[in-house]
Amino acid sequence: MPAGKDAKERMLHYSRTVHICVVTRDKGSGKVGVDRNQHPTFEYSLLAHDEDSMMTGVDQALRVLVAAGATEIGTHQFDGERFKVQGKKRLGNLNPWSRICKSMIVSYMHHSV
Amino acid sequence: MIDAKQPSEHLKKCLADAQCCSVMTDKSMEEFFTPFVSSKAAGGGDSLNKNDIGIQCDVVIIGSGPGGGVVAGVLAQKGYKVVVLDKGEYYAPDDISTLEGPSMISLYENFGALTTEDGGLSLAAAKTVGGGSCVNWSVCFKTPEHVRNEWVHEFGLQLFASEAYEQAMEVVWKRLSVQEVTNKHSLQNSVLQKGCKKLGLHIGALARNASPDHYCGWCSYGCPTGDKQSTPETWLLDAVKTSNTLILSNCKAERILHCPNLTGKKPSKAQGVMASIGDSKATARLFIKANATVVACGSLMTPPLLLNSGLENCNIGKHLRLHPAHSVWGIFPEDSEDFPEGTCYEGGIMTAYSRVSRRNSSNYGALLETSCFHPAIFAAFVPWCSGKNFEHSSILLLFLQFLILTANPKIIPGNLATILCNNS
Repeated sequence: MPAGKDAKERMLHYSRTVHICVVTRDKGSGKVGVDRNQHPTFEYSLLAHDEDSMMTGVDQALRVLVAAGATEIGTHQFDGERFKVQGKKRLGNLNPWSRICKSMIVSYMHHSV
Repeated sequence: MIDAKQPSEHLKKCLADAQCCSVMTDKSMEEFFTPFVSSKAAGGGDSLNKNDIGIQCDVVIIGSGPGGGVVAGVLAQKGYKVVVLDKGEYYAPDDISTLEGPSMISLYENFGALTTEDGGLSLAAAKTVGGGSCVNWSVCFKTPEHVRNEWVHEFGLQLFASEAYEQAMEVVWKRLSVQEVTNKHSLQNSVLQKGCKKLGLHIGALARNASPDHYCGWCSYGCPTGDKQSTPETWLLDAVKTSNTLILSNCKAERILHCPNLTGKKPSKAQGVMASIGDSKATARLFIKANATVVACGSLMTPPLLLNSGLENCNIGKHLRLHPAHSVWGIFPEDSEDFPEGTCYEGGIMTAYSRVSRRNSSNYGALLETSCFHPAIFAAFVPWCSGKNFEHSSILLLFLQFLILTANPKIIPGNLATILCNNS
């Protein structure tokens, strides 16, 4: 699918796209400083422990969306990955996916749900 | 409340008329200013210029958000003369447009586009009178037991085990009219509840500083009805009612003025604040002499002010906790009867939450909450790609890494000094 069409198609679902936010209590911490113009600077990198909390949360959030009946799920990961939920009639409305993707989705869903 | 956007005679007159502070004479200003002339802390010139204004009060508070606002309300009611500075503008409920673009520009730090140095996290920090309390999603958590225990036992902060702290949280809870009832949940919160119940996961109600029938969805852009109990609707109102308080908007604190402390234990003592009036080409400085100086600029903006004032404690700017957050999404087409009604942008933004079961025994875990994306933010955050790109990237599925994080602005009543932009 061309990229422009993909973006528009996602926007068409806007009003019924439910977001769940995974908020972590971070064990790691960042740093606030000032640059040479005395403007604030912020440094932060995610600790492995916190990344693990976040991944656990993302996994659980995706399962919650599926359990509530989502027809399609995804993250805000920059590469635009998304998964159709299998076994629902309404899937017909959405764009077709390649076989490879479908089998991967199935394995992903089995793995995580 | 005085808007200190431009240095002018009008501003001087307003300051002279204010009951809660006195304007310094040229001579007393000269005396106040002299000790700082040679120090870096005075900044921007060695001598006073004719537009500079000096005022004197009991307490000067930098920041009018959930930290500074409470201090102002409490001290003004005790009879102290208080001056509150905020670099943002004041918006009354009637002035709130809730339009995404204009609101981001006028209510947020760096027009809403603040990020960490490597771009890994985007930070949402308010810049308006009332600070984070004006743009947060009205969720209130009392400091949890396990967090308080950690502060007491690991850091020796006995205050958090005390009855006084418990009472302080109750006072905040009461003044903000915090309550746990939500008459109608939004689409997003209904989905979270439904999914968690089905999977047998924890689900809890979130307490909010808004009424049970608050069903809006535009909290991020200010409260157009005034139903959200932000600082300007509560503590700042208490402060102003006493006529002991002056709030200066569009007034940016540049330096804390401090001198060696010859009598006390600490090496130096704050004498007041130097602030700039107007934009970056400011032609005037405002000197505020006070017996006490309170810095309440949030966890992001407090350290830069301290560092720029020449303070040197090695902990300034360290230990920044951001509660990093990541969003996932699901589509719920309208054509099914089993799905909850509504749209993703309407209704109380956060009314339910779920604790994520932890793989380890640590108290540092995650919560699931709902998020708020209006169309422009949605378009900016939701990733899109071409089919070819997808097929290529899906091969990398198992190496999925989450890179886009958002800091979450949130009030934690009681934890007044360390309130974040948030999220959360």
